[in-house]
Amino acid sequence: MRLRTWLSLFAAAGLAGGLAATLGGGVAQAGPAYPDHPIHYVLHVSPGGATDVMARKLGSVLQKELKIPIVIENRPGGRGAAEMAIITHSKPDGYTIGSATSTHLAEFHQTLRQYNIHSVTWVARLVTDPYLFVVPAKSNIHSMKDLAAAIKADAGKMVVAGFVKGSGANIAWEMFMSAAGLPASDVNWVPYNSVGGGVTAVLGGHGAATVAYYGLVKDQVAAGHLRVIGVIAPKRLADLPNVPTVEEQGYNVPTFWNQWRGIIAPANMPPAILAALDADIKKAMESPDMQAYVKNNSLQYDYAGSATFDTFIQQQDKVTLVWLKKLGFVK
Amino acid sequence: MIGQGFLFALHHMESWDVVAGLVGGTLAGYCIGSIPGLSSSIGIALLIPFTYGMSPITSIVLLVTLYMATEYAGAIPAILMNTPGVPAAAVTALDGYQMRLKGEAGAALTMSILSAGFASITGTLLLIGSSTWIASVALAFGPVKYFAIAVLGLSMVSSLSGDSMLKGFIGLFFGLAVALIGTDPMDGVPRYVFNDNLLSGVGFLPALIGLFALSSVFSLVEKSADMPAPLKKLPSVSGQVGLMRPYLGPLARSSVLGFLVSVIPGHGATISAFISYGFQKRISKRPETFGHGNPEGLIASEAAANASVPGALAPMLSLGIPGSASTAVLIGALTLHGVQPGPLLFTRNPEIPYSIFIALIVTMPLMVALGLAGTRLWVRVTQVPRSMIAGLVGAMCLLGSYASQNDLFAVWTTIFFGILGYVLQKAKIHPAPIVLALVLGNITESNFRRSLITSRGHLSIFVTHPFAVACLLVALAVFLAPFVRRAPAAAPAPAPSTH
Repeated sequence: MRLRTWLSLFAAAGLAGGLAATLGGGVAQAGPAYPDHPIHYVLHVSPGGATDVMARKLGSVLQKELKIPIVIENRPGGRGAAEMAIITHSKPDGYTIGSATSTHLAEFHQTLRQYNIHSVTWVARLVTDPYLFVVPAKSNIHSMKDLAAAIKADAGKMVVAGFVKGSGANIAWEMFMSAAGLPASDVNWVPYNSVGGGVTAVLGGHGAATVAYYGLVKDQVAAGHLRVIGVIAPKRLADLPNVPTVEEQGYNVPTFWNQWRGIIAPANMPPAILAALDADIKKAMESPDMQAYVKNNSLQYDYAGSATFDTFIQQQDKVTLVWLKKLGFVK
Repeated sequence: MIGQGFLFALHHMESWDVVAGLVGGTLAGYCIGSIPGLSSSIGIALLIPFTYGMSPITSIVLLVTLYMATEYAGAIPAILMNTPGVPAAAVTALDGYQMRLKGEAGAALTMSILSAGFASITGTLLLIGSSTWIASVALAFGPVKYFAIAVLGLSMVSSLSGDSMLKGFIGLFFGLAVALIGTDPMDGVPRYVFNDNLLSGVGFLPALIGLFALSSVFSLVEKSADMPAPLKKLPSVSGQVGLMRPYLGPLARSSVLGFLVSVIPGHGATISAFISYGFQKRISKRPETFGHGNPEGLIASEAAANASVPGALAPMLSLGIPGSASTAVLIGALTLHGVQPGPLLFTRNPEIPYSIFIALIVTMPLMVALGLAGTRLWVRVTQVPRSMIAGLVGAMCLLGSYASQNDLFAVWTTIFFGILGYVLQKAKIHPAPIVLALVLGNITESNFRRSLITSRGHLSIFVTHPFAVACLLVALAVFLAPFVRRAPAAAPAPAPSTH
């Protein structure tokens, strides 16, 4: 069945001839039919993780849409260094693109200081994952106010299990502490290797709270093991209508601070190619296939084209730097 | 309840696609597992794109059988060529390769597949019986207990040191030093990073391939003029099964131990195999023959490594927590199909866990039959001239190393550790303690530091948990045991040797 649909699609494309490029949306004006040969999609992660799986899914949708092979290359070496080396040494011709997450910005200020946000073209933001404040379901903490009170009552003793210091999740926590007027030293932030590691620790009773993403805690919340007490976002999440935002609860934190996944490309990309690529990716993200994927994985669909994404990156970069300095990671 | 689940899953599984998944997964697992560098997690990740068009059941059956077969198949090159196909098989190579050097390759391969088969079935039954609660026990492992059990694992160095404890410790500390390279797991500070490629640390698979496989290629080249050792005749299939009779005790013990260790998240097949091997050597009547081709060592390692597959699935199925790198990838594959492993899996998608159980049980006869029949074929490798084997394995090492990271730096790492492994061999320092340290270094350090952050620097936290205290005391005893035991025996020895 599927094969036949495919074949007929191909036949249709063949009939359309050179018009196939228009399927990419707005490419016709972009000059000599971009794309006409395989696009390399370089990932900074190993095969199998959430970022990889989503990139592969997007790759397969794009491939169907463009009728051009999308070659996924995993370059997990050096915490992003291997990927950045390829992106910055490739031509900005739209045939080399890469994955990016908020971690890239933090790395630019810490381990990969030879790069900054101007080293690449920010092509598109795909999805975001807002930060949630999570406690065990049997805890007495029901709101951010309760959390602040519990920290004060137990100053210096509360263990918060979360992703490594300086990570986006850690910064989200510190933003709350500072908004609540609490010194950072009032809690013990015990770092784990991943956001999921912190969730596991809280489930096992080795931490009183953590900062996590919805997809990681959804089932634990439904099963009555964990409770979400606040979310950093401009408005409540559709999936968690009863969880007020941190701001709603009276704490002034930057509501745009979240974990995002996007696509980068070599710097100085010609505007025509950038526009075409952006449009192709947008179309792929809007396909029912990708929409279903985003929903199943409890991500927030948050597409932003290159111009919006670039502004967003500058804003995130500023905040990242301010907090890395406050936390003592950058002098 | 369980019966209903099985019937429900069987109903979903009666299709040729699922059978094809079982057979395909087993065959693919044998191929991937026998190539150094392609571990089970990489194999699963590589196959995920092929499952896009399949039903969730067919894909999970395919991937789980692949996982299972890969963990076993790593033993084949480990025994025949001292080239572990998967990390855990490095422990199997300790005695397996020695048996092969004595011409017992057929027996070693037979024992490895039968141990793997028995351990998988035992592990699966344990998983079925305990899947709903055992993972909660694993959750109780906080930083202090993790640290304690990691130290217990490190203490196994005394079982891996061969003739000289000193050389074992040299290997262990060298490995721990190498494990320090890379980005600090707590604060993100780069340590000993003189090249950006080292930011994520020294690649474990490339180092392992170098230490074991490439270094044995160099020794093969050295001895390439020697004639292949004569091969002992293999008994009939019923006789093959009979080979296991004297070792039923170690087999059962190692299977249960391997399962239990791997239920703790983060402790996969390799740590299970190391702990089981060390434990078996401690309680063996002939510990001195370990590392010289004692089948007990081979069985302890293989049984534990294969029991760890169902073990690692326990926290994944009931909590959505990956017990090993491979189960982390499996979780990714399941979510791709809209199935979320976690506390609601058994109520929301009961067909998934039960088809995993069925797949694990049904694959086993297939895997064992393939292994037993294949043994007769694979042993022929030992009759191939060494120069040819050396060339082939050398190429496989570099290719596998590249494939594991998709990076030339990995190949250089393998070459570096290959040369190092060869030099160490000349100095009679075994690579196993180095591998032990590479596996446990990061876990030990992270959890030591997490414990101290929790207690605000008070070391007393390590004596507050009875389980942790017990682990640390046993570790201390294991560290000291060889010195205590050797002291009286060593006393009369110097007399005749003074010339």
